[in-house]
Amino acid sequence: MLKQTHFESAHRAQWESLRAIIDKMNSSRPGRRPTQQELQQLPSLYISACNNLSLAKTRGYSPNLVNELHNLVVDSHRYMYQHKTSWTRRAYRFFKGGFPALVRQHYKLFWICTALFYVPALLTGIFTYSDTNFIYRIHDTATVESMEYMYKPSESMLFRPEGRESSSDFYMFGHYISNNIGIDFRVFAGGILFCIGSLFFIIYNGLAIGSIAGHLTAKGYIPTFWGFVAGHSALELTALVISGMSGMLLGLALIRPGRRSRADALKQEAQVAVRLVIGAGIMTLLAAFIEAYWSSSNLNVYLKYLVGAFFWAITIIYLLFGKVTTSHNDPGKSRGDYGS
Amino acid sequence: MYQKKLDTTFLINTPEGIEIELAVAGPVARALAWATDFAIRIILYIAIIFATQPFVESQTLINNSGAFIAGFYSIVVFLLEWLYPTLIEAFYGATPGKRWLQLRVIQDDGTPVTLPSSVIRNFLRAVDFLPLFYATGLITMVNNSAFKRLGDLAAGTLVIHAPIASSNTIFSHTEALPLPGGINADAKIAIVRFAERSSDLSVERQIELANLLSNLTGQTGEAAVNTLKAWSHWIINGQENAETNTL
Repeated sequence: MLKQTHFESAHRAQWESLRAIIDKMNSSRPGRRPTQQELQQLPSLYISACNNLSLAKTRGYSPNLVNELHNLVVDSHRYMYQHKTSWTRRAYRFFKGGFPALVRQHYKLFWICTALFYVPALLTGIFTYSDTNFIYRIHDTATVESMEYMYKPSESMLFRPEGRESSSDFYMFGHYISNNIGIDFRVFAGGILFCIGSLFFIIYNGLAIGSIAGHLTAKGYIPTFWGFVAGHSALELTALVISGMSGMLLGLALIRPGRRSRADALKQEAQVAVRLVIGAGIMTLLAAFIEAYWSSSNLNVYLKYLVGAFFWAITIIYLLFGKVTTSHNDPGKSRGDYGS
Repeated sequence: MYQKKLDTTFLINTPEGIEIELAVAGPVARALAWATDFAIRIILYIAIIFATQPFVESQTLINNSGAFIAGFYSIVVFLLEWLYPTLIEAFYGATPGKRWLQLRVIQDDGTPVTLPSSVIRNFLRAVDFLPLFYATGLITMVNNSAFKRLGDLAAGTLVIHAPIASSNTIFSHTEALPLPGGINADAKIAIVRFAERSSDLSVERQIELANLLSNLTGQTGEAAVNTLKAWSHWIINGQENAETNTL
């Protein structure tokens, strides 16, 4: 049996050069990045360090040496097997086509979530439209009053130049971001409670939005309310539905894992769900821009309807036809890579 | 082998057939890291409020500059609550609080945490926090061997203690004595480990430990300590090992 000191003196130079490469990779300073030559050495140095570690373990070398080699292997392993990091390119591919392809792949869930949102919205909308008192079963008096006040055509506070200024547009922008994107994220997270959290948020938002829409329509605040919501509705409502899908994927993985263990199913579906909720978050961010800076403008209401229709068309076309163009030698295609 | 022990280690098999052992972090270390991050967020909030104070005061609230600041605050809250842990973990492997407690977030295959996994584990804090103070997360953590909360289970991530660099002290003891026969490999490792650790132990503790082996050394007290160190020197450096390899 080779003695530890001989073993060390035979291999220590290799360990030190491997350690030097790892230290350079750890360093964030661009001038200290490892050279091409060093990167080419990394795999062989790593493999021999692995061999040395298992030899050191089985030959019963000193714990300090085993520990040192173990740390060297752990640190190298991180770089040998790290996932691709060029995230800007993958983000581009994702939004260009990966995201709509994912939504289409889960089209059944998309329609289920669409129904979960729009059916309660439509029903309460009809109820509040036909009975002006019905809204008080859903919202308290203060909410209804503030909604009526906001959208009352004669004294609407929503529209420039009478009430709002550009600074308050920014206020609303901040509010829409933290509130609306936060809802998307909670819908996602709530799904892990066997879908219950997602179901609650989708249905609750459907009830709330539908009831207010029906009530204000019945009141005749059509140009102010529908003119306001037309522009951002496509992105915002579709994003809510898609974040609903993301939460349901988590919950369904636990309820119906199929031939996988629940833990495996959750892990796999979460990787899909997170891409949906990131896409939904970006859609809601765009909607917040439109809502704060376009929807509040004081332009002709028919122009606003037209722009609203345009955004619906864009959203539908994007979700229906957006796809990643993969070249034949792109390994991403066969792995079911969605560009992120 | 000596790594078979009741411990909070997580084993990862690499493609090279090597087992990597990682020390998973328990609820206490992680709660402290969270509290540190919470304190950092509070400090950031206070700093931002102070930094924007001149803008709030210099303009009258009538022309709505206050509204601009309020919108800015909303965005800051959103960024710090949702994106602060997510992005920092994705790009640096640990939030400042975790870094301070020597914790790292990794994928459970030992690779660095990815952006999607960081998003999953941090967004699911909203559920792990329920109903109060991470009760759901804590209950989940103590029910699996790797201390994973719901977010870690879904993301396939682990929170580990950063590997501690080995001291690699070459013990100063120069005398080498041949070992008696019949000492197996595990016992040899224990003897070497004792010698390597001895610089961290008080003399009394060294004697106390060495006395446990007095039936092997035939000695007690300081003499037993020296014999063990000499054996260990022999194990590491000795010219020839007379015994056949027990492994």
